[in-house]
Amino acid sequence: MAKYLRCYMCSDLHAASRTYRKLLNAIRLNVYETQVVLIAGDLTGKAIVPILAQANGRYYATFLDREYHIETEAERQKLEQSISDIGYYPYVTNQEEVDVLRADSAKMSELFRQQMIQRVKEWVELAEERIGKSGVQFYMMPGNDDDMGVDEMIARSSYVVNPVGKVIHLDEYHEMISFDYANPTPWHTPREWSEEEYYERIKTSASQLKQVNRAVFMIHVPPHDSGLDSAPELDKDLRPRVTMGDVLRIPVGSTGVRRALQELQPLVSIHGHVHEAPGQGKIGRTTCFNAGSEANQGILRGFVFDLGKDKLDRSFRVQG
Amino acid sequence: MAKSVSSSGLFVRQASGLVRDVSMTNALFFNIAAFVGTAVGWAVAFYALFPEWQGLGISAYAWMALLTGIACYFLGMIFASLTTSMPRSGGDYVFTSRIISPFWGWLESWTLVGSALTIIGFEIIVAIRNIQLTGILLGVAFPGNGFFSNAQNWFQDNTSKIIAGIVVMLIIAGVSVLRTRTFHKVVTGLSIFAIISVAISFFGAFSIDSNAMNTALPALHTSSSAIMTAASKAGYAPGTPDFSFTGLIALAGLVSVVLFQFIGFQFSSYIAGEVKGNVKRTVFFAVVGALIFAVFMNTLYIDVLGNHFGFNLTNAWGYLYWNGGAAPLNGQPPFTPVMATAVHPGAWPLWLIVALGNITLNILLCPVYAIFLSRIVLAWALDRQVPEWFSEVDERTNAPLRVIVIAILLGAVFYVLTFFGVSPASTIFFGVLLAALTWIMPGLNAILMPYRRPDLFALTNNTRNFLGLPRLVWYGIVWLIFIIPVYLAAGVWPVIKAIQAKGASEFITFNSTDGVALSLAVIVVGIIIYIVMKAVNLSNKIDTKMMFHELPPD
Repeated sequence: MAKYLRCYMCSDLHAASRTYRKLLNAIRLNVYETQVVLIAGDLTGKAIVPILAQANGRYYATFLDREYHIETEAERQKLEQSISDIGYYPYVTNQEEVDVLRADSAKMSELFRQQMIQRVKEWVELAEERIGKSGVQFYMMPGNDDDMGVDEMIARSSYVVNPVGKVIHLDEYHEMISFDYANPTPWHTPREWSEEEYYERIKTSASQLKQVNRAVFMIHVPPHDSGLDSAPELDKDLRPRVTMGDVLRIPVGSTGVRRALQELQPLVSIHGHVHEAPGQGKIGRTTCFNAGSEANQGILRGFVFDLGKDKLDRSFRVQG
Repeated sequence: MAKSVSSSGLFVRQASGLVRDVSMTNALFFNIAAFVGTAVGWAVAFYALFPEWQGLGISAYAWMALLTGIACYFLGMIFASLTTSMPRSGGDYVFTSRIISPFWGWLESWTLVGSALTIIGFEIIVAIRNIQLTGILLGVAFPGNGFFSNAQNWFQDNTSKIIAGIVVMLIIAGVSVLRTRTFHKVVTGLSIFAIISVAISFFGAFSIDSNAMNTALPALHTSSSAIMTAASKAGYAPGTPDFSFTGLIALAGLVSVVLFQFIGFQFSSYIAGEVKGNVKRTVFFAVVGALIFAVFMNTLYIDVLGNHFGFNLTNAWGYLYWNGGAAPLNGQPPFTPVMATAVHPGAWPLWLIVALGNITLNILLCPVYAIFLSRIVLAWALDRQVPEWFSEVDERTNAPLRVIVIAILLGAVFYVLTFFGVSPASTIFFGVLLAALTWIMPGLNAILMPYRRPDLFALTNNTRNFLGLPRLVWYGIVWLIFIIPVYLAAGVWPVIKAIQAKGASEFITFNSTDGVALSLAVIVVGIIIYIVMKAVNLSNKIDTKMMFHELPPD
């Protein structure tokens, strides 16, 4: 073994294909000289951009406040790429189907599900193609925003690993356990546990570790009031609460996660979920990371950290 | 793909999301607040920094501002393009460190920080002067009031200057440490107020002519002949259009003053990491919108005021002010709200609004600078060019508070330097000189980007060719053709002349060679810091190249 194990972590890519391709290139080009890549959840996007087929063989779409009349296939593909790059899903359709989808939330949900699963499938295949033989361990964890269907796409891969529910041996000294759920959110997303349940699940999983003090915990939601979980406070309509012209910010991390980290004291815990609160902090001897996310702006944010046998040798924030 | 006017919707599902706080309006007014400064009331005072003449009824200053505005359009396009491919906070530092090298990115932004700190210092000096001028205005409006009629004698001793300076710095600090969203709301609101004052001043100037101004000068305890005589005695001579080598050197100097007035129109690029929505569009409109306003303020606005208040009069008065002569009102600049109040005492409330708008933009520039400096330092710290201590974001303000406080305190140092004989004009020139790399490197970045970083270039909005070269390269070439001769003529030539005339000892004197020695000292300190931090990072086995690496998506 080298003197340390170099890991790279990022999170909340939210279907932003350009940012994801940057990640793959960073590994392919060995930019971060990393042996382990950890994606700490939230792989899927939040919006579909309908591209309307017109009667004359042309297409019409609106994207980022700009409206397009598309005349050629090349133009359509270019627009689809732009839409995918920022984390939306392009969907070629017609006005009739749009009207149906708007009226039928179940059909809309199913469409989202298909799009999310398809994008993750493409990502997994791209990873196999570009870095499958690199020797780098590649762990892709879903997050609370992700449909359950994406797990199956990752599970099919010969290279990409979903670490949830497993004890992963990163090397001879360091094990990792992973949790894709969040504490309850106002959006009632697909993967949420109560605080008590979260605490219990972490405790149970940690009991399988040989040496928890050398372990890595990959937990999508950051610990409560850690400085890595400061987000806008929302009102009942899910709009940010504003007082005296200021968005109020509150800690939204998990108290269950915090309690578990305080008691178990792993070497490192890595998180995502709260895009606006990147940074690193300490809970006791545990160093916690949240890379934040600007994936939809095309920026790949992450942390590189080196695990020594019993300690964190170094860590630094990177963005590309 | 053609644009259309109709629209269709987006399908959105509920999920947690990212919040960015800076809108296009905020970005536009951030830019405007960064450059206008004290130009609302002082506009005509800047005429006299270099020999001034009129051609076709337009001042040399306005001609140069128009030329600078055209050139700055290309600079604006460069910033918009670079921001498009690298939409993050840090501006020039990020661009140059990724396209050319981390060292040049560091040096460029380090000298920009030095330059910006001098500008904060200059604005503190001017803020105190503006308080005094507002008092004088009220003294002219109410001649019987003993308090205001003595305003020209306020802040003459160091104690009162220090107290006033501390008060101004507290106001600057109070705005600077607001939470990000509140900060931008305050900047936007105050800028709108100041723009209203610009409108009052611009249209109000039409109610004044040079005869009325001359008649009203006794209310300011002076006369036209007294000003002209004193100015002539101090060396002032009305200029004529001169396109000889000497004349062109002088025009280049004038352009450097205009550039000083323009600094900031592109500053939204430095906070691109906080801009919400379509970053490319927001930064583009904010930069171009601010540039249009900058050109207006330095062409139409200044000449309307200059012509209506008297071109020769304002030049002579300004000359006396900048050259330490016996300027009227105990050494004040030609401040148009005071002059207008002398002409129309009954209209004092309107001119008071102009004076207050002037103070507003003057003081507001400092927190805007502090914020933009903090983003540069934040980008440095993220790349470990400075200790991470600087990058810690305060939870209450969502901003790197430590840097903001340090920036204000260092700006205050330049204010304190004036107690030891450093003139505001020297401060301006020092700032302009030190900002040389900031003006030059964007042109180099634009020219080199397609070849050094084709992956980033592909993400800009200027990839199409023109005459065999990418448009972005042409923008860089046009900009460098403009800026390099200006800097050689306005920055290097005066230093050479000063040394030739007075000997090498002048080199180390701050005032006489306009701060060249201090500029070099700042550069040397910057290089030392870079080397030390590189050594520290190496000893910690941190490869900074990783942090600088812009990743190609394909």
